[in-house]
Amino acid sequence: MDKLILNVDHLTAYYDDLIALKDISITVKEGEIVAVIGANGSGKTTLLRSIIGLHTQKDGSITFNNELIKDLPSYKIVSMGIAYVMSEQALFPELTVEQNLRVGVITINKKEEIKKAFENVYSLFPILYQRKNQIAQSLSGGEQKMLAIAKALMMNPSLLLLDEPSLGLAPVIVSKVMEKLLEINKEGVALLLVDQNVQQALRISKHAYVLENGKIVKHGESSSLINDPLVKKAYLGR
Amino acid sequence: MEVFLQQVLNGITIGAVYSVIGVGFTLIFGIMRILNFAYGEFFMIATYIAFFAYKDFGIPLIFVLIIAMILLFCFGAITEKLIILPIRKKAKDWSAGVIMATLGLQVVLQSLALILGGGTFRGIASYLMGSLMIGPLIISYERLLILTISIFMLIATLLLINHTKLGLMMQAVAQNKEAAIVSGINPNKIYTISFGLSGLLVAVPGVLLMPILYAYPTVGQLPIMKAFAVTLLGGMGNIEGAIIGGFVLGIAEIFASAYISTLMKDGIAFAIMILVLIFYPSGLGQFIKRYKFSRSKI
Repeated sequence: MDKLILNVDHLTAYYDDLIALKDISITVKEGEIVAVIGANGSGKTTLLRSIIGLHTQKDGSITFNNELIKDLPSYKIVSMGIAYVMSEQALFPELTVEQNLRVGVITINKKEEIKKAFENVYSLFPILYQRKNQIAQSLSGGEQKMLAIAKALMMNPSLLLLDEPSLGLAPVIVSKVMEKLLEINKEGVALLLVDQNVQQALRISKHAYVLENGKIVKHGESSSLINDPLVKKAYLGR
Repeated sequence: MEVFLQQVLNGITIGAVYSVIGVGFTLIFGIMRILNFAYGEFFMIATYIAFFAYKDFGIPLIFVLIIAMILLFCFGAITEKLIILPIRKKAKDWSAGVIMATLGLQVVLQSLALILGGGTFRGIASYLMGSLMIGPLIISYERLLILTISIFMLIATLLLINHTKLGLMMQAVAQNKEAAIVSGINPNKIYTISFGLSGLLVAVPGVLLMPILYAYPTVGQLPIMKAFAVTLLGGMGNIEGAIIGGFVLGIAEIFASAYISTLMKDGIAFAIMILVLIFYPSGLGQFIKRYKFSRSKI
């Protein structure tokens, strides 16, 4: 279970003259949960957008299953087995829950596979089955987050990128989402999540990186980072 | 009463044509958030294709229609690939640039038509003689054909958008482009196809109105005016709204000319449009529960 699937090597990302990420190297192994923690504006979202190909001003190398994906368009990258859950506006607001999920399998032509994907997702999120004919916009915040994750899962990814899965959710819902993420991981899907909710992120992840002003200042086992004085002081308020 | 019903029938016929013109125009706005100012020239090209194919080559009307639809689909798609795509690729905020480019294309196409074809009006008197009597009402076979085919096109468009994979992809790209991309959809492909569909739709009235709107370089001005009016009436980018808007405009025009004055036809119609917009700024389409191409944030 320790085959390397994602390898980000010396990645630097720009917004024209502004450097957003500087010389970032991170790896994700098969079936692993990796967290990237850091404050607002530290470059977490840019990191995920660079991996998935939505952010194009970048240098360095990004490989997925030993294939260079750095310069591929997003719609090709996702077909290789990486799915991305955006922190907000991840859904099609006027489409129903079922239609949103259907867009997730839009590139798949085999009826069997589509059926299996729906069964899988509905068994993981029974609430979405109950709401399948409701439009996405009318769902609660927590349900929308579940739908965004479900839509990404429809693509049957081996790596799931999650941008702030706990953003804007009530604490009790955050725990629920995290539980679902652990369940998804148990099925063998590797997770790379960035979050401001450092405690939750470190609790469910195995490895973690601390991002500050576009640079990685620390990385290691999550269980040791959670007790790290610097992390404690900066992010856990203890 | 009979006069009234006759006017309603006439209004519905012209309204169906306006709806088709409006849907083709609003489709592009709904999906790409741009206005295609060369839309009237797409219509103009269809009128020339219709005239030459029907009059000079003697091709049966139904095949002329199919040929024009195919050619205009290609023309729309090529316009997107050749002119709009390069602008979209280079500029981040490309709406204004693209709109100006379509404005340029409008003038270029008009000039080309003038050079190649001269300023002659090319048209035919009629392609279908006779009329159908329904009780006291009368409708010419020509108008009946226009009405039938227009309504067929409207239904086909709705089915395409609501019940096909392509339609779902179009809605996805319109509602949330980035979410569509990370679902594996190539938005460039959808944009190209949408431009093609827009051309295909406007080809239909371009051919069928042959006896009314003759082929000449600036014939596109009338359809684009109607397209604007219908699009505004229905709500920008709202397909169902454009369909309603087309019928409202058509009926309003016919009633204005029948009961007030033919001179007031356009005036009254546009006055109604302004009134509607004052009371319902987002158009009549707001009565439709779901906007297929909306970008409301979630």
